[in-house]
Amino acid sequence: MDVTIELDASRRGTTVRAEAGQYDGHPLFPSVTVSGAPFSLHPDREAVAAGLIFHESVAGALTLGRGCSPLMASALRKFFEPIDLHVLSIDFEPSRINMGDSTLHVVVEGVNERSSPRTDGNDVVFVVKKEGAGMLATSREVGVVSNAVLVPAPGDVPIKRMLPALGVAVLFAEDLFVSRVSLPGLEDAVSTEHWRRLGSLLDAAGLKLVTP
Amino acid sequence: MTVPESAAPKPDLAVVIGFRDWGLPRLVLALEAHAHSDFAARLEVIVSDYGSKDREEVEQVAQRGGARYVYTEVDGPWSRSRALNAGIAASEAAVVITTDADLLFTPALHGAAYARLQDDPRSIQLVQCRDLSPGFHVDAIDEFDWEAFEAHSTFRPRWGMGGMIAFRRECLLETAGYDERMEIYSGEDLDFARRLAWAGHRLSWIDDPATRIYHVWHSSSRTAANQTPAGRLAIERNRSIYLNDKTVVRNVRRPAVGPLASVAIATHNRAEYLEQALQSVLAQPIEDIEVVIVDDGSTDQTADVVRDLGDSRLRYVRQDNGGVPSARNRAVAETRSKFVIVHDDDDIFLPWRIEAHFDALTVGAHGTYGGWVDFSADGALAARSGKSFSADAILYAGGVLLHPTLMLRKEILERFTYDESLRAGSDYNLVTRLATSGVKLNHTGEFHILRRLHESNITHTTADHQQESARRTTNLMRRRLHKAEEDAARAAARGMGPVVCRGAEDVAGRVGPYLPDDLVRRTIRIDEADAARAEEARQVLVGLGAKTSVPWAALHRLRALGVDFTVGAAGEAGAAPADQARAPADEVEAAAMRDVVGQAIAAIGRPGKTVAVALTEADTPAAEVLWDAAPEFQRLVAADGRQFVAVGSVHEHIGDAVGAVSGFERFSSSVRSVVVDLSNGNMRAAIADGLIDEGRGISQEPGDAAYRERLTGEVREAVEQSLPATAHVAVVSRGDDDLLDLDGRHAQHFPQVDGTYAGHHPGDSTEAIGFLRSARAAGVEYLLIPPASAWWLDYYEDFRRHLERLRCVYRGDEGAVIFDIREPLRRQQRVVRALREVIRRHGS
Repeated sequence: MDVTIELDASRRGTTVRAEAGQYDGHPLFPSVTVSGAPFSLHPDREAVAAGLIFHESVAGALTLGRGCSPLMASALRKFFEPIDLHVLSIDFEPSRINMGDSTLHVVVEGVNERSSPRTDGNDVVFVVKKEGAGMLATSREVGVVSNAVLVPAPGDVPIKRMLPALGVAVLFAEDLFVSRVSLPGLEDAVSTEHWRRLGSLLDAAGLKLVTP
Repeated sequence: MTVPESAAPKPDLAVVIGFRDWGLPRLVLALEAHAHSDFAARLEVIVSDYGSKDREEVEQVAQRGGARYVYTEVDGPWSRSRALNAGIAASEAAVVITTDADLLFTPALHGAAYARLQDDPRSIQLVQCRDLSPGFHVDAIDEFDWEAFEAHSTFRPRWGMGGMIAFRRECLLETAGYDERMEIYSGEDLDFARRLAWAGHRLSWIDDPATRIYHVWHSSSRTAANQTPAGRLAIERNRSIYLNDKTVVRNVRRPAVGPLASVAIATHNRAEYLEQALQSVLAQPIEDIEVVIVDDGSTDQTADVVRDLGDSRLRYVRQDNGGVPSARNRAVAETRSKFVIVHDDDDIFLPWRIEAHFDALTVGAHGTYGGWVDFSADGALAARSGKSFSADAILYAGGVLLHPTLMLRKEILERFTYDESLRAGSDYNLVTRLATSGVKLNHTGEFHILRRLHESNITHTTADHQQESARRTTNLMRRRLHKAEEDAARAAARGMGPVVCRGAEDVAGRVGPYLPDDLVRRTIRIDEADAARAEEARQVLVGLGAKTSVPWAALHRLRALGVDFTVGAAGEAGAAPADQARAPADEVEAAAMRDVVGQAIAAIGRPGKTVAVALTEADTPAAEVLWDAAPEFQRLVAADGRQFVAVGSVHEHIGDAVGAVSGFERFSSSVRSVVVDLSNGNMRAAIADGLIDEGRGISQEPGDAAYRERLTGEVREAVEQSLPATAHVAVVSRGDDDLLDLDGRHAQHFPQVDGTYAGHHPGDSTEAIGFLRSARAAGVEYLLIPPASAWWLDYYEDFRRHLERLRCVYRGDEGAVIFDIREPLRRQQRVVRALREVIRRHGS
């Protein structure tokens, strides 16, 4: 699967596009749109977003628009197991990710929207809605609209349903200077294999998955 | 085809093996391997035998091997697609593996595939097979030495779809199975797996030493298939399907597992319209559907209407009144297929709609939609094609799509529910949200519904709320764009033209026959080759009193019987009653007819009269009925080893003979008939010319050179005297091309369908007038009635009166008449003309 991320020049939108390969499942939404665009975006964070948004469709080869680090490629392989993922666009040149010291609480419509995040200090609540227009940003809360919320996940496992919208949130992590990610309302998922895998993937991009 | 319920515990996994004739020993070996599976207790194996000559032998092998046996009677080539679909339909397991009869599965494979599908339900699991060396042919294998197999096999390159495909049964609802157009050899598994990927399932290869498939050596099937022209053609055709067909769902008429689609209808107190709405859905040709009707708290006879239709595909769900959006959401929730077709309770569902939906559902599309035709209480039609679907088009162009023409993948409607907070406009709101969220819809290029316009349309009753809701929705979505973008979108939308729908140039012809019963005289042609079924159909029509028009109830009943038919409307050239029984041309029949016409004329013909003769195959229900219906002349005729029944009647007037012929032809599509006009001097002329020997009858149909020369000469004289060289003329010709030779003038047959002679006389004046209007619309300026057809003016009285309002430019002594049909005479002119006619008749 070839995944590219386009940032609208006016910063009013981001599109994550997937082109399915021979063995990939065709995503229900091959173009995932977000009603806002980050100012800065590290390729490894891009890779995390791509992997999370299209995690149900990728079958084998994954090509990323701007590539990713070897560490991230390895993390993606582990995240996708037992699917035999091959990341074809590895960039061996190291580059720094800007990180902060706050927590990003991700709230997704239809998954954990009723939760009440316990915020502290400079924490930010990042809300992803499925329909609407525009982006709302305050110092403590950011709201975007994205059809990532509509990407299907089989079974009724909240953490799996959340993954595509979480990928959207990761796109903005650098702008918001966060280093931790919390998923409010998903306390039950903490001890699961899904949580462990997700934690390892985010860790490779400098984001720590913390207990809500 | 839906899977029957079974009392025994259902297996978790089914292995379906397609088979026909060849390789029985390899099948024995394969079944033995499956029986040794670690998963055997939860597994069923199905041998789907597609037409083996010695089915008993195959069945015994299957049973001895512990497999279920499914047999499909076939008179045609091998089709792995059809064999596998038949086996899948017979299975009851939630997970299916399709494979071949020459493949040996290691014991761990079944369980591994099943477990991986549990972990990754949206995947398809594949295992590539390994080819055993020639030393490992079937006779050389007496035990499953997997290590030896591994050592003596080569891995087949992973460019195909391997030796097996494992998938969850619900995948079939998204694709309708293997493509049954594919025959003999190659491509069906590639095509199936690819369509599963298009439907969102990733293809996952199991690569584990414990999970292997070994292909028992034998000579190449492809080589065998390539030896014959039919085989090579089939391979080419399969390849073409694979390369060119981008639709996701195949076998629309016979899906492997159903229901193919769910028609979702929300209704509230519309019993008066609901019956025909439902009949129109049930009368379309795709059988394997369900129709979910959510009754939103009706207080009329809605429940009775649904119950009285008595069709098991109807599912009635009642809820307390919660409004249209709530009823629609409930309907979607109740559907069992993967595709939801939206339909309104007061509209007519056009019969080609479902096929059109799936023909346009190509890779990447979330749904499809079409045009619609509005009709009002007086039957007036207004066609609306719609436009290409996009967010900008929805917001700025208008007229893009009508909600009840939609089909959507169910998973889309589960994500985009109807907004139950809206009092009105939930349809527009949904469509706008779809468009702005990246949903892709394809236009089918067809009209999908006849939309009924009436006072109680929701659009009428809640107009203010609709507008308010629409504006709010629009304004919200406009916020996605800044002004420059919006200006550009508006400009682009202004330039957006409608999609072209099939039949747009003749909407009345295309959709008119499907109007409600009170607005159309509907005719029908039974296209059924099976005589018994055709007779059953006739009984339905008779029982429903379908004399002057065929009601929707009859179409529903005929479809339920499985009868093929074509619908038309009186006045339309599609299926007039006299066209109902036109059998395909058959030389043997024609020869028999020629013989018997001569005999009939000799037996019962008299100068000045007309003889009607009908002919049909003996030993058919129609033959019995004809024999009883025409006592004046009855014959058994033999021709080329076939037996025919011929009957005849003689009439004072050719119009009566035409009526008799129409009556004969109503019995069956297999009846051919002829009317021989012995009036107007034709009999005398025919005898004088030796065409009739009074002892032997006419030796051939009128059309003999001398006779025809007389006929056509008179016509040419009429035309030369009265028509300009550039005239466009319609000729009542009975299909005789010689009558169109009018000295360079543009001439055409009358009546005419699709540019050729219609093949029949009009059933009545209304139909004749309809044909005339069609001709006029096509540019015809004059109508020429030759002497041989002068009886039209006696038989079709209303048609004659219609013509009398027009200017008559020629009236010959032998009976030829020419009318200028371009515009009716003014009243004064008609009076003057009538007076002149009186004077002419009674002398000056």
